[in-house]
Amino acid sequence: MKKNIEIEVKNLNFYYGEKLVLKNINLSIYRNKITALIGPSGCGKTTFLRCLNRMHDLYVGNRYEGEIIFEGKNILDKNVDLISLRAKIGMVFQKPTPFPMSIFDNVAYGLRLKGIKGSELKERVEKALIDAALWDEVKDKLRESAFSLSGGQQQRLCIARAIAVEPKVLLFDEPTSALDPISTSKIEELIVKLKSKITIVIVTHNMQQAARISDYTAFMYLGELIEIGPTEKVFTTPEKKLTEDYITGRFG
Amino acid sequence: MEKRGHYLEIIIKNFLGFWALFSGFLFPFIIFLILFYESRLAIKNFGIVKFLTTSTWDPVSQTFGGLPMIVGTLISTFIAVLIAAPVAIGIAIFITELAPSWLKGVITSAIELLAAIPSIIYGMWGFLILANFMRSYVEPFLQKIFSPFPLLGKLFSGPPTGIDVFTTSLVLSIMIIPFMASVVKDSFNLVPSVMKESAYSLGATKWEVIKDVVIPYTISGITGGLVLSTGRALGETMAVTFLAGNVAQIPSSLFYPFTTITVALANQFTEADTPLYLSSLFYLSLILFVLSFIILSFAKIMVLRLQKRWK
Repeated sequence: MKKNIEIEVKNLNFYYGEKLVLKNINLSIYRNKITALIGPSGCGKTTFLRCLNRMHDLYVGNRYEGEIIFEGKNILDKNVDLISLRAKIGMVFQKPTPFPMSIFDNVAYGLRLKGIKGSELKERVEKALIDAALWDEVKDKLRESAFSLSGGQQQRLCIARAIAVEPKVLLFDEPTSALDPISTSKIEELIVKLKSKITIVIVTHNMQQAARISDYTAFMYLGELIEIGPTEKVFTTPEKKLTEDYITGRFG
Repeated sequence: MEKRGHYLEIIIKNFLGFWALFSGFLFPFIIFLILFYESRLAIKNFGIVKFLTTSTWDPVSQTFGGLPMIVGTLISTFIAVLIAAPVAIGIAIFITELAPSWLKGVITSAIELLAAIPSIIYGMWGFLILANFMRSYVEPFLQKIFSPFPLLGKLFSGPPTGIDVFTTSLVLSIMIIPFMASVVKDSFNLVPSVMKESAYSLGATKWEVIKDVVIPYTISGITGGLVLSTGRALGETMAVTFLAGNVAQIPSSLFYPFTTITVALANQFTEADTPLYLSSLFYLSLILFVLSFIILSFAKIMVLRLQKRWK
C-alpha cells in the first residue's frame, strides 16, 4: 500500500502571517486516484491545495510547518527548486486563465519553458489537446486567440496546458464553479479519464461532484482535517458526526 | 417624494452631461477655431505646405517658416520618450513584481513626489547644473565613443555646449518618467494574480512570468502610458525654454542648440510687433494643437486595436 502513495502530508501547519489556518493536517494522496477535498467556505481546502505546489510562496508572510513528502523528499524544505516542483505538480484554477496568446501558444507555453521545440512541440501540443478532449473543436483555429473560445473550452485549454508538461500530480481548485452544467460534465469526464496517467487532487464546493468523480474524499472544517477515506464510505457511513452533518446538508 | 427625486435626477444628469460635452468636445473645438482665426493672416501669406517646409524664421524680413520648431519639437519628444520608456517600464516592473513590500511604498511615494515638482524647477536644475555636467563630462565622453562610427559619429558631432537637443531630451525624459512609470505600474497591478499563478504553476520563473504574462497582458496600458507622456513632452515649455538654446535652426547633431514650438511661443509673443509675426506664432500653436491631436488619436487607435486583438 505504501508505495502507492504519491504525496504524504505529515503534521502540516500553515500560517498566514501570525494566523494559523491549517492545523496539523495528516493525510496520504494515492497515485492515479482522485482525491476530493470538501468542506464549507473558509475551511482551508484551497489553502491546503496551494501548499502542495508551494503557491503560497509567491506572497510574503506565509509560513509552513511539518512535512509534505513527494518523490521521497520534503517539498517544504528551503532548498527545494520551486520551478521544477511546479512543473511536476500542476494546477488548474477556479476560472479559466488562458494567456493572451494563441490557442497553440497557450498549450505550448509550459513545453517551451522546458526547451521543447519544433516537431516534438507540435506533437505534444496536439497530444495534450486530444487528451483534454479539445482537439476536434480547435484543430482548425490553433492560431486564433485563446479568448475566442467559450468558458468551458477555455477551461479545457487550461487543462491541456497543464497536462502538456506531463505532471505527476494535477491540482484542481474548483475547476467547474464558473461553468454551466454541460461544460461541467465534460470537465468531470475529462478528470476521470486523466487519472490513469496523473494523480489528481480536486477542491470542490459541490458535494455531488466529489461523490461522482473521486476515489477518496477528505472533509475539512475550520482548518482541520476531520475525516478522510474512500469516497463511498465517507458519503454513506462517515465516522464523524461533523462529516455526516455536512454531507446531509445540516450546515455548509 | 418620489417625483422630486426623479426631477433632481434629470437635472443632475443634464447638467453633468452638458459639462462633459462642453469640456470634452466643445471647449477644444472653440480653442481650435480661435487659433485658426488668429492665424488666418499667416495661413494666407505662407500657405500650409510652404509654412511647414520653410526653415527661415526671420522677423526682420517678415519671413516665417515653422520647420525648425516643428522638427525640434518632434525630435526632442521622440528622444525623450525613447530614453524614458525603458526606464519607466523597468521602474514599474521593479515596484510591482520585484521590490520587497517596504521598499514598494517608499519608491512609489518618491516617484509621485518627482511628478509633483514644477517644470520650471527641472528647467533651472537642467540649466544650472546638468548642462554644465553634460558639457564637461558626458558629451565629450559620448563624442569619444561614437566618433569612429560613420552615422552615429555625425549624431554626436559639434561643440559640446550642454544647451542642446541632448540635454533637453534628457531633462524631458526625467520629467515624464514618473508619470509614465505610474501609469504602467497601475496597469501591471491590474493583471489578475491568478493569471500570474497559472504561469508559475507551469514552472515559469519570475522573469518569464513578467515577460510572457504581465507585459503582453498590459500592452495596451503600457502604450497608453507612453502616449500620454508623449503628449506631456510635446507641450512642455518651461524646462525646454531653459535648455534648448532658442536657435531657429534644424539641429544637425544632438549637440546643437535648437528650438521648439513651445519655446518660440514663450519667447516671442511679447516681441511680435507686426500682425504677420503674431499671426505666425498663432499658426505655430495651431500646428502644435493639431500635432498633439494626431499623435494622441493615433495612440488611442493603437490601444484599441491591441485590446481587440485579445478579445
